[in-house]
Amino acid sequence: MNLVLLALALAISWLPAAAWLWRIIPAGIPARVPLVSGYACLLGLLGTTLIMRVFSLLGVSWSLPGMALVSLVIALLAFVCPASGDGVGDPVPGRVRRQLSRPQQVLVALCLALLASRLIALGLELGTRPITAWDAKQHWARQAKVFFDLKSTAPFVSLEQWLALGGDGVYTNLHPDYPIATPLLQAWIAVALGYWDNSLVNAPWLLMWLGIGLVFFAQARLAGASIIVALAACYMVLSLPYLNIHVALAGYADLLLALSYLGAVAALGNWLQSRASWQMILALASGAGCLLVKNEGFYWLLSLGPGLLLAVAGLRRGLTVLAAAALALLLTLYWLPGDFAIAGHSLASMEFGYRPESWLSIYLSTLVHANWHLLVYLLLIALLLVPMKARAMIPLAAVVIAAICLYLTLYLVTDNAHGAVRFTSLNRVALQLMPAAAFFTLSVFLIASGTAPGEKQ
Amino acid sequence: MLHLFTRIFVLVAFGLATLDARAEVWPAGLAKPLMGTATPQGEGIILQPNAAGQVLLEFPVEQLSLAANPRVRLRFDGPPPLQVYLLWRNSIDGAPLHQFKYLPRDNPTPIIDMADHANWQGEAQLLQLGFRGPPGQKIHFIDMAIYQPGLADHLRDLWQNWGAFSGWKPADINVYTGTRDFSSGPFPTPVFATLVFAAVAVYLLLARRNASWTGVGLIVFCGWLMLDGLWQVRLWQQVELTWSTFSGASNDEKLARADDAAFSNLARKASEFIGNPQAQVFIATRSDSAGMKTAYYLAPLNVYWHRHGPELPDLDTLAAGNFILLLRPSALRLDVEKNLLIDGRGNPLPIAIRYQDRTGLLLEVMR
Repeated sequence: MNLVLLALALAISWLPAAAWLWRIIPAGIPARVPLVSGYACLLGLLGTTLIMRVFSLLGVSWSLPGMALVSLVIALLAFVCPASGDGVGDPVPGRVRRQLSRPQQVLVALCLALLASRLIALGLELGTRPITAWDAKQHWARQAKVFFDLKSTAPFVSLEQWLALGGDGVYTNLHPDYPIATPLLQAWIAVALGYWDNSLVNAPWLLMWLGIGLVFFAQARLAGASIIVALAACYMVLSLPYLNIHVALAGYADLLLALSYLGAVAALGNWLQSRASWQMILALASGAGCLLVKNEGFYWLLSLGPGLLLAVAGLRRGLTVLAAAALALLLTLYWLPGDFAIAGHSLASMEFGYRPESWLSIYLSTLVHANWHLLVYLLLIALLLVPMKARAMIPLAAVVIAAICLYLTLYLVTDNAHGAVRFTSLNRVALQLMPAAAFFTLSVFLIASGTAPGEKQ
Repeated sequence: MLHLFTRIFVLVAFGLATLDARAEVWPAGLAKPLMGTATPQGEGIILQPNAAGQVLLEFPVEQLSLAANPRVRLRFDGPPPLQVYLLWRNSIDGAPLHQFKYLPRDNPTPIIDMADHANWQGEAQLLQLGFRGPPGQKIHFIDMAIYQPGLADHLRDLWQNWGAFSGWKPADINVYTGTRDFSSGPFPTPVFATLVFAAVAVYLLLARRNASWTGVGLIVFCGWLMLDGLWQVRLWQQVELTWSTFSGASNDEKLARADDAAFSNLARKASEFIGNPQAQVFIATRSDSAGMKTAYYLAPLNVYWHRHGPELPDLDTLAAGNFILLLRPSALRLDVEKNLLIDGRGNPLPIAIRYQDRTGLLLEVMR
């Protein structure tokens, strides 16, 4: 019965987003079903948290029937909206659908088998083990239990405020300013089950893993990858050990942010090639979703800016504007008062200053430890290839480089360096970027190899 | 190209198989028993410990350079002893008898690496092997080999390092190295990266103008597959461990089987005694871990826990009807006779003990 309720809860999250995406994303494009399914995983989960907030604002307690009804109404409303006619068809003109040869069939079967094995292993681990990891208990799930108990959101304040108010009507934890999408998802599953299940409340993390795979596969197909290449690359992303760990030891917010950022970057990347308006909608929706998940989502959303600027203004003018903007930003940060807060952190608390001791940790985490298999090596090669063999990818490279610069700034120039030296947050923040970086890497190789749209075959 | 790679693979495998280290081997028959008894049987000897569970064997040594031969391999037919002691005297410091203890666990051919041992230097002047086991255990000892590790040994070490499995540790959510320990290299990722890039270079050299992105992509994919194979196996081993620990357990039973059982149990009992869902509960402890776990298991109660801060706020802020969950270790002092909780500055707080177990105490503030 629990599994039925769980499936129902995930379907209630997925369905309204899928219905709207089915109307927005034109028919006839390759991989439409995985594209709709993947983005429905992301936007559906985020949408669920928004509906829960609205319920709380209106003073309505969360319940399975209530959420199901709203979900159904939203899904039905989608069919009132006219379907998108902005079909672009296959992004690789003249690409002929050929039957797969025997070796290709073996490769496809192998990838599917490996993915199935990974899904089963992660599903068993997640579904059997109670919440284990530190922050999952210290912050996210602890907040989720309060939300579930009240069937509503509740105000969380700082320790000092809590004491001043005598704890009356407020709760406290160490990061009351963190976005609440993650605990809302756990609370939602608990509401659907009718009780707090120490394992099953993390079921959305398996959906996030699937969402990453579906979004990656579909957008890779739209970028010009054949089924085999897209599937192989999808397996490579979904097999990243550190990404798997965040499913197995579920309960952190980083995986959802990774899915959001992938959704944004992949859609933006394909919009840069095709200028399809629905891709821009996906990019903006996914990018905005980053803000709901973690404070650093603000920075990842900002990282999309350079790519957009270069795409709109052209390379030369765009780079000039970017340089001027970067200088203006530095001057602004210099002149702003120390108590000015950005994404939940005051400038004074960041304690700006060069911290070279973080370099070793960054090097070990990306190129030596087994967190990312060979991904970072391939990413570095892709970045080198862009100016030589894939100039069309310059705007998307600007997005990735901007994100990398922000990441390096976080660990080399701010007080967060301790998170690098002690290997506590370094990989968790990197996880938020890696699936998107993988998509960028694949896109570069597709163009460099001449299989992407617009290149000579 | 596949044919070429197959040939290369066979050659390398054959070469590796023959590149084993030359070892100096002492058959068990050469050993002189100094403690316990030894009876020849088959290829080795059957050892029976003395009343204290000890066996001591002495081996003849001649011009054995210790530093040049850091590996000691023992062979047993059947279960090994619980403890193995390597005892030796070297030509550098002469008199002291050095000792190294090793636990073979269930391994019948344990290999002891003495490379990092400071006193495994010079020439051996005395070499003894000690075993300790339960009374009545018969140990079938075959031989001892001391040698310089060769390429095959290093590869075997590599495999054991990369293939080592242990269940989830708290740090695993932050980093995955792919090795047995955090600092013990070589790490698989740079090794595989080097092999993949070398393979790509060889392919490009051999194929030249016929080289294709498909070929390069296949090589990268195969390298990724092999590297991922290590992780895939480890993940399934973890699933097996998790399944054996938690499968079939109810929601509450899972907590009882988890490492946090003591804290979840305390929190559950405390919640029952507190009764009032609106109550405020202060967690007082100097342990980061204990505080975090208890705060989590007490939720959805309204919990105050200041990580890295004072165990309790100013006692004046605590009101009647508040609860304190006091966990070890704590700098707060409890005066049980006077029913007072005393903070670091000597300020007293009247309390009543509502519940206690080995993990902590639930106190109610009485003003």
